Amino acid sequence: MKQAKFVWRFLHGNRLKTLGIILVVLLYVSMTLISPLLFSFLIDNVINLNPITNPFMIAVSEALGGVLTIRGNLGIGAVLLVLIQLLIGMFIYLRGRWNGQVSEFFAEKVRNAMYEHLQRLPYSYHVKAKTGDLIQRCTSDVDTCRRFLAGQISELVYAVAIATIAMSILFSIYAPLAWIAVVSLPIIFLFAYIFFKKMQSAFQKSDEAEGAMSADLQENLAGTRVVKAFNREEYELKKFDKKNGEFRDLTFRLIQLLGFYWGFSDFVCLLQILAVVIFGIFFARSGEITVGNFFVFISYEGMILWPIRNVGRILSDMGKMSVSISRLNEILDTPIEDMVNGTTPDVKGDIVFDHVYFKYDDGDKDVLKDVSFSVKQGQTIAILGPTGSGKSSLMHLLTRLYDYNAGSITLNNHELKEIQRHHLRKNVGIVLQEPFLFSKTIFENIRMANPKAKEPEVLRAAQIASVHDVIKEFELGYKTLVGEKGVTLSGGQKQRIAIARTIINNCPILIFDDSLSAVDTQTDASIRSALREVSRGVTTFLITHRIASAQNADKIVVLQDGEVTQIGTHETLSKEEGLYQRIVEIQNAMIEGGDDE
Amino acid sequence: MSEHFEEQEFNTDKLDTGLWKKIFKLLWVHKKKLAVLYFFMIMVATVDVAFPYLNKMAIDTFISGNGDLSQLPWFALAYFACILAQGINVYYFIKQAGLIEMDFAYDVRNRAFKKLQELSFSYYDKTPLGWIMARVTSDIGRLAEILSWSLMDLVWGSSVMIGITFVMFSVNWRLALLVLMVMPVLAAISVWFQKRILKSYREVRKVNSKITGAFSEGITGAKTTKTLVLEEINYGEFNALTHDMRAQSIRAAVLSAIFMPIVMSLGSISSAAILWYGGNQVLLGALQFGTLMLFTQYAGQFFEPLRQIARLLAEFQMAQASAERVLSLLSAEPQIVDTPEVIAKYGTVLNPKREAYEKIKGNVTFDHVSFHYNPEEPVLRDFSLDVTSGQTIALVGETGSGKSTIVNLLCRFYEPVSGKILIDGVDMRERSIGWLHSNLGYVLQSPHLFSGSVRENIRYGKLDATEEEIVEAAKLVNAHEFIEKLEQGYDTDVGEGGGRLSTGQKQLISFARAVLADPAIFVLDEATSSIDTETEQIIQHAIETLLVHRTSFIIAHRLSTIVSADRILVIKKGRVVEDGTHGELMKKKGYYFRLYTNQFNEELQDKLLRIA
Repeated sequence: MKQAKFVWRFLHGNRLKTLGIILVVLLYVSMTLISPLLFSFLIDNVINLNPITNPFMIAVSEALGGVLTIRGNLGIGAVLLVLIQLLIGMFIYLRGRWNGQVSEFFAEKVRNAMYEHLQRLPYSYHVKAKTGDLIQRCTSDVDTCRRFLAGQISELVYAVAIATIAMSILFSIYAPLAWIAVVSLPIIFLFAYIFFKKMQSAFQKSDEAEGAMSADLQENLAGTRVVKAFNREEYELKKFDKKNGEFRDLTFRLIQLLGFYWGFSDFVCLLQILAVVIFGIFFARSGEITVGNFFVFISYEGMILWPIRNVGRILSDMGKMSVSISRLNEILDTPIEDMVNGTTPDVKGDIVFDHVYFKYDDGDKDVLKDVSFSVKQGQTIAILGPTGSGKSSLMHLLTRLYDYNAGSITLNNHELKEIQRHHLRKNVGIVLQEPFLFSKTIFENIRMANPKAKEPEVLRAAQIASVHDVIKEFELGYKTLVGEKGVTLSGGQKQRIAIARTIINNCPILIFDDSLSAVDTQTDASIRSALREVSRGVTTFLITHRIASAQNADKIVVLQDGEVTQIGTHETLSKEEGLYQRIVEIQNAMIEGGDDE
Repeated sequence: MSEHFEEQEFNTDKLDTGLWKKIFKLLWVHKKKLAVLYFFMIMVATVDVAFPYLNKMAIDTFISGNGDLSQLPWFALAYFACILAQGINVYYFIKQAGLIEMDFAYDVRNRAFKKLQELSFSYYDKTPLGWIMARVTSDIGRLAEILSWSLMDLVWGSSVMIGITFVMFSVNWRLALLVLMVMPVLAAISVWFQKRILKSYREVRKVNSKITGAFSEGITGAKTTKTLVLEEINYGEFNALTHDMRAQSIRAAVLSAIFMPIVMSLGSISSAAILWYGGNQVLLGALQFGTLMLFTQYAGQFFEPLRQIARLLAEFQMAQASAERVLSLLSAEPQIVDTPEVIAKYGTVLNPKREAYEKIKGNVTFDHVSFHYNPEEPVLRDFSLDVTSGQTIALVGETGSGKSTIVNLLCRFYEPVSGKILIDGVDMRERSIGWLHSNLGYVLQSPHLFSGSVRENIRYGKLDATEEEIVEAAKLVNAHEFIEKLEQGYDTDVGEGGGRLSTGQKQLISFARAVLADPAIFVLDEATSSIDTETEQIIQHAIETLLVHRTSFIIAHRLSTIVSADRILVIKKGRVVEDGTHGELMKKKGYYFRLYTNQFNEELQDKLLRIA
């Protein structure tokens, strides 16, 4: 039911056309069935001069000038045949065209919906998301639905219509032979249905094996350095060979089973035709049916059998589509972030953390415990602490990528949770630890967050981030493409471009989540001093491991296991027993150790 | 690079026979299987041609002719034999084609993978990963499909056409000519259409791959998108893509929708002619009903093989690009290869003779080494360096100074343009790449883990390591503690590329991996950048004890991690500008001094003032 709702929803705007497809298919079926009847008419009534029994055909032949006229001008029959074929052609064309339009509009809408929804899913979703799986859903699952609409619906209608109409005509001609003609249909249908139902897991296994093989290749290529440096080529080849072989074997087995299916069902279908031929011979000889009838029976038998076999397959494929739809629905049903509701106060940069507690939805341990401190507008706050102490989580709270569970955070006395996310994120710029650059030019990447920015602003941002000189050295400068088709940037270069991209927005609050880790110390220092120059009045948070980066901060917050253990300045903390002092000592010991040698 | 290849796809309008010869050579390995396949295919075609003839017999002999019923059992038996044969034929040809398809793909993929393991770094630097992936997965798959199924269709199609023509001419040559009359026109139209249809579907595939790329970027970049509030901009761009996709797809669908009706209408002219002419013949008593029926059936049956062959020709033309790219991968020459003598002695990377590997001491000499990635930008010029076994060498310098190049040369990821590198006094090139790499430990700035458990990843350093050795290695680099805290300890799945772990954790594991390898030469490339100071400190001690008997090269931007090196080399524009211990270099008050003091600027000023 949910599946039908899904299809109905995305068919919006094309529902009438879908109806049109069904109509055209019905017309197509009628025309297809008329051809053999015409032949039969010509054979029996025109050539063999049997009397016409069907009142409709009497009317038709009278309209054409009577049987004898037709007999004298067989060209009339020939022209009729061509006419019918032209009509069939037109219906086929319309069917193909509308099928294409309906399915493609449908696919476009689904793709857009998926993309938009994914973008709006909360941060926590993306942290856990498996990229490959999501991409597969958005591409191949959408395609499964598209294919169903593109061909299978009309095939289904075609099969059902042609089987019912053809059978009723056959029964009206001569019921005993008609019974013989349909005896195997349920068997063929059930066999196809059950077979493909059972095959689904085999199809899936083959797909999975292919996926595993690609994944293995991908990892090997991405890790070439490691493979080569550890001399593991042989091992890798064996590993790949295994995956490659598994894929081959599973798929071959699948094909073999398919071969069995086609071979066996062909056998049954052809036997069915033989039965009609043999019994037909007897009935024709005894005069129960005419030669023309015999022709109609054999022609119709072929028209019914193959579509019926297909119906079994399509119905079992519908199972696949319903799985695909539920996989898509799984994403679409995940609640998105509320970007709209909330207040939009002026954000300045006075921030108060008051007994803040936070834990992840799926975790049982508090990541942040009773965190309290306050920040004045324009201050620089350094946050230090061991890996996993909650530094990044604390910063994520500030942009509402996550919401705190207890306590309060206020921005100029506005409770953070009440501020609209869109507004908040426009005002709080954060540079992530592992920033992502889009496959566009460097210029476009920097300007992305602020499409109105002019070229000088982009260059200035790059200069502040100390990346301008690097960019200028690329052959295409700012027009250099990032990613696979362009340059491969080093970690430090990426971080600096990400910084440029963030600061172009002139946010009153800036967060650097260890985003200078891959930059050398000299550049680190020059970025910080450039920032100090241009961002007076901007509240800045710095997560860092480097004392040198932290020591100029107005306030240093030391986090351990989610708790604030020390707050102070470099001056005070250096003298206070604790983690900060230990870090300073370690770094000092290095200096002295070096000096002594 | 990838764009360059995309362009090629459309320049191939002629069949390149030389190219296909090479591809068929790859296929020739399966010649016996192919022979079996084609046998079954010809059988299928024969039966296909036979059925309408049997139906004609049914009418002419048994119905209209009121022939002798005693012949009917024989007729039924012949009919049944054909049916049985067809069932068996169909099973075997599908099985056989599947076998060839899968075997061919398997072989060529393994070849390609092997080649990829042998190729040097310069190849990977120039070739995007996605390009290689597409070659090995979809291009090879497409070739395998064409060489098995499509080629088979060709055999079937021609057999059916020959068979029908033969039977028709032997039954009634006038009617045969009527059937064949429209075929040249049909053939021409089919070829014309099939080419365009395939081309338009190719366009669709191109947009489709862009959409896949956009999804991939939208998902991996989602976190960044959020922080920068880019949702609407991205959505707008994505909309443009899907809109394009829809337009292209509909164009392709309409093109194929128009093809069939045109062809069918043309075909019906042939049927109509048969009916007209043949009908009159029947009226004159010159022709039997069954024969008339036979020809109408054949007229319909003749078209399908024709369409298949037309499609096939177009397919081969389109697949040429795939073939070209697969061959270009298979024939790529690794730039770094061992000489035949070295291979004779040590074996290849994939087939090593480990018993011939000499024990390494770890003396490294760079002897007047020059190197560049492209001739206009020399990276190293006449670089010489002598490192005694067991020394720890720290390489310091700005990005692009040549530090990484030195390490790349040492690992023989690249080879010097001139000069040589000696290990234990012997030119590196006189021993195998495998020998060098089996003595090397390497930790990278952005550590690469393979999907699988933590244990498997550490074990990568030494495939036959025992559980104790693995744990010990982890302890040595202080990874044990956090690994134990993971949900399933050492069995925890690290995810794709180690994605479920933090960068710091990944680094620790890659470190343990290198430690387990127990190499004589250690290379640490920015190994500690994302580990917090305390952890780094702990590792630092581990490294120090670990490096005692090993030659090691450390590249780090953070000077604190290298102060204890035996020698610090300051590299500037591909030359060593300063060389000495931390103390010596500090006294020199040169480049290193400035670099170093910059980092601890305020602190150090303080200190120096006090000393003075």
